[in-house]
Amino acid sequence: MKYLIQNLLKTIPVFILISLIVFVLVRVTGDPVSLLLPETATDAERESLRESLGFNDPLYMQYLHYMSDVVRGDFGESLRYNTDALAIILERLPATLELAIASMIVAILIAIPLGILSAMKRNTFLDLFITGGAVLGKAMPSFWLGIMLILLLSVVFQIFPVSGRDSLMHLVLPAITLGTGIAAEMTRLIRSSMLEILGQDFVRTARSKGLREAVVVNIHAFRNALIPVVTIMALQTSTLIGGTLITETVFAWPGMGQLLVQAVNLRDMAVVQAATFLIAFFVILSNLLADLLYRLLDPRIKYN
Amino acid sequence: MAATKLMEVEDLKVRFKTENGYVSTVNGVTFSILEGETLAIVGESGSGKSVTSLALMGILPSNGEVYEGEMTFKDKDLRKLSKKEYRGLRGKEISMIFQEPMTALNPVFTIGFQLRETIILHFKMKKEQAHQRGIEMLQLVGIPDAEKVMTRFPHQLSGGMRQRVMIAIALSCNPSLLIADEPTTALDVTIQAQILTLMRNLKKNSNTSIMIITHDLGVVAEIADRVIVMYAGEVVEEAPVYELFENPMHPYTKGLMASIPKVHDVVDDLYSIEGTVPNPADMPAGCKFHPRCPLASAECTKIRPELKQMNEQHAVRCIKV
Amino acid sequence: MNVVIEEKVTSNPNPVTKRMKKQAFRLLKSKTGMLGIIIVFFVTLMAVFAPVLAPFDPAKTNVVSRLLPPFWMEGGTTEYLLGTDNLGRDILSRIIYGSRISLMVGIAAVIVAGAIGMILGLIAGYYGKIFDFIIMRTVDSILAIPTILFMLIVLAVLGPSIPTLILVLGGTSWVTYARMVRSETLSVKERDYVRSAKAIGAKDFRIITKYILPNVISSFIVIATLNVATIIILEASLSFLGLGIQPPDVSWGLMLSDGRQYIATSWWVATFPGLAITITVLGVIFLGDWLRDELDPKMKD
Repeated sequence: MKYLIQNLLKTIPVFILISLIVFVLVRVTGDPVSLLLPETATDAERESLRESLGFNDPLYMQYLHYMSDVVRGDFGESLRYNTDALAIILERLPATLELAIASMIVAILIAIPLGILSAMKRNTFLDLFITGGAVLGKAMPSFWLGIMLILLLSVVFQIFPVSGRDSLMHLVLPAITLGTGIAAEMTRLIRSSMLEILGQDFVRTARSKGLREAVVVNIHAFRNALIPVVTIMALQTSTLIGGTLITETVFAWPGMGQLLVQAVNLRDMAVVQAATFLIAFFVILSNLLADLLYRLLDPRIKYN
Repeated sequence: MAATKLMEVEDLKVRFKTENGYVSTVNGVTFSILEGETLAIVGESGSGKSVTSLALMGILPSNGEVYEGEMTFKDKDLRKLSKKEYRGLRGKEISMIFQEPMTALNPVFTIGFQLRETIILHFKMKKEQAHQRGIEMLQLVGIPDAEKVMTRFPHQLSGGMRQRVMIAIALSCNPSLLIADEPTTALDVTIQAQILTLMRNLKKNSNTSIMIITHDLGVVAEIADRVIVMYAGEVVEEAPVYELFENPMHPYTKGLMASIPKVHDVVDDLYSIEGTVPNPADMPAGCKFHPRCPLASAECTKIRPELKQMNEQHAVRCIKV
Repeated sequence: MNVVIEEKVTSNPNPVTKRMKKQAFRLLKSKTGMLGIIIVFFVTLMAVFAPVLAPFDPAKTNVVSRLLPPFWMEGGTTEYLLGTDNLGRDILSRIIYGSRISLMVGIAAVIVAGAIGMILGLIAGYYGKIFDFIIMRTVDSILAIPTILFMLIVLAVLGPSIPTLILVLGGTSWVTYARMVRSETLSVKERDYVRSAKAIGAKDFRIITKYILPNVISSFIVIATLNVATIIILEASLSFLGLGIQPPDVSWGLMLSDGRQYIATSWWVATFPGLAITITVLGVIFLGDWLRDELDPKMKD
């Protein structure tokens, strides 16, 4: 518990830095006034809006105002939708979470068996086949994979719908698209982690007990191999969410990612900021979660 | 000899596949283990003693294989067993403890889990029964608070305690043969003595044979009935423990004896055998010990000596005796 | 199906087949490095000699020959080997020109990222304390925002252009270098010979250039090479989302974004540029892996 609080406290500077980065990007480099007013507005009108929005205050005052808004969850109104930015984002969140979780499941289903298998059959053609597949998965841009999946499974064979989010069938292609890239990285990690563990003494002990090889590998070795994999995969949360931006655009998946790409193209900064903070929140949350999981998986840490 | 042979090893040869082809580390080892006896296998690291034990257990690393010879355990030809039959033997009929108690236990499972696992596997017991048996085993190996220790993880125990746990696991299915590979090497001197006493006492109360692998003649004197001295993948001398200490014949054995410090002697320099065990990929011709042997002559570089039976129980591989 | 057959071969105890298999495997393995070098070499040639190699001006539209299929298909002509896109532009020429952007942006961004990462990593590792705290927390913050989102925001604010793109790609990719350089610096700093050099009054600059940099450089080259692969994909992704390369410049990602619209009728518009990205990235990864094995044995898995 004490540890958890410590870790939560550690995230505060990270949040402050993120807010600074976003603040600098949005307030200092752009001129929001010109975005808010029509092109025909007079200089006097611009000046009065600038004054009323506090843009003539010193920068640190602006930052403090901005932060007090952020802390209260007020990111301003969306230019396009004319409603609270955070509310729009939250409305789209479930679709994105659905996609992210489905992709993670796809990735795990691919990576765990293949990673273990290639470690067990080290330096065989099967291993070469799997590691080669993992490299290919890394080299393929996900949007191209998505388009190719559409071409093959929607256009040629017409098994899955091209885009949208109406049924579970709609989820399949986006989840495979996003899951493959993650799986490629995960397979490689599990393989190297397993290779290290399989050489340890306790694996030999497990064999000397007369356990089946499947038990030795999948229980004794894998439980240990999982520890570094979980930690490194937590860092992939950021990649996973980044991936939703592209995957949602390819498949017109009505989630936060698609909204965000549109908002960026329209310079709808309120939405962009709200989404950035929310995403950073999720990434940090998942890192904390991974840390807890790490503790759960590795009993050596708890008591030290 | 009235006692029956539990394990017979005949001309065992083990090799490993490496980048540069096969390397043979055990080159025709013959010995047997009698029921109820403690046999010590002595040798420096690289003599092939650990590999021999892994071969008996059928758990050689994946690049190693027994390519010649016979291993017979209770009239079963071990080389002809299916994987499944071998598994049924391992941990039940033949069990093993290892040198490094710090790393031999799985760090992420409790002691209880690791004890129960073997018992459930071989005795087909229910979890509760196995747990009970686990506690009894821990008590047997002298662990206080056995019930509590069942819920502990390996890192929470000291090295000596972990080795006791390893012994408890190894003995939990009443094996006929316990192979102990340097069981005390990694432990403090006082703990070493405790573990040896424990093993001796346990043996007194059961009919388990022990094959103990060590480089430490002190351990041999402490526990063994009979000794085999190995050098470069071969048996160079075999004798009952008293006979060997009284009358070592092979120059290598003599060298090993001379390198033990004696309490009453005041010596400036401890004797040590010059050089190291030859690389298995590059064995000398003739007697493998000749480059390090103080008695070596021209003959020794040519003739490969046979194991000569000096009397009923004493055999030695040297042309000089 | 192949997999099952290989399995049987594996369990075959015949040592001769086993040995042959092992040799074949090692040959294949070393061949990936070779393949990487060949691919990178050809892509570089393509980029350098694009004006000579490309049969058409990549931006030249031709309404009459819109969406022509590749030459081997019905309706395709040998004039447009890989077909044409929705504006009648020659896809082969566009792929050849696209390699320029990919390589240029990739290499330039890696130089930016490497320079920032090296300097900040050295400062954090060598001077420690408050510098280390600020730099490492910045690293954490950047890692908490998905790279692609971070770049989208910057590009949205600054407007997309090639120099901005390079700066943004470099400005978000330096964290890997910084982490590696920092941890390497920390370990080298504590070694006896560095301590004694310090004790006899060697200047920081000298210690860094003489003791730390040589220890870092091979890992640095490996990371940089593999980073080129990541950046090529990122550039393509940004261009695909409309915030990277802008027309009339040619980028593989941009071509894919056009191709996405016509996937139902004209598969070739999206397929070939994607293939170009995949092959190029694969080549760079193979090259990087090979370099890692050669230069930096401790980084091997």
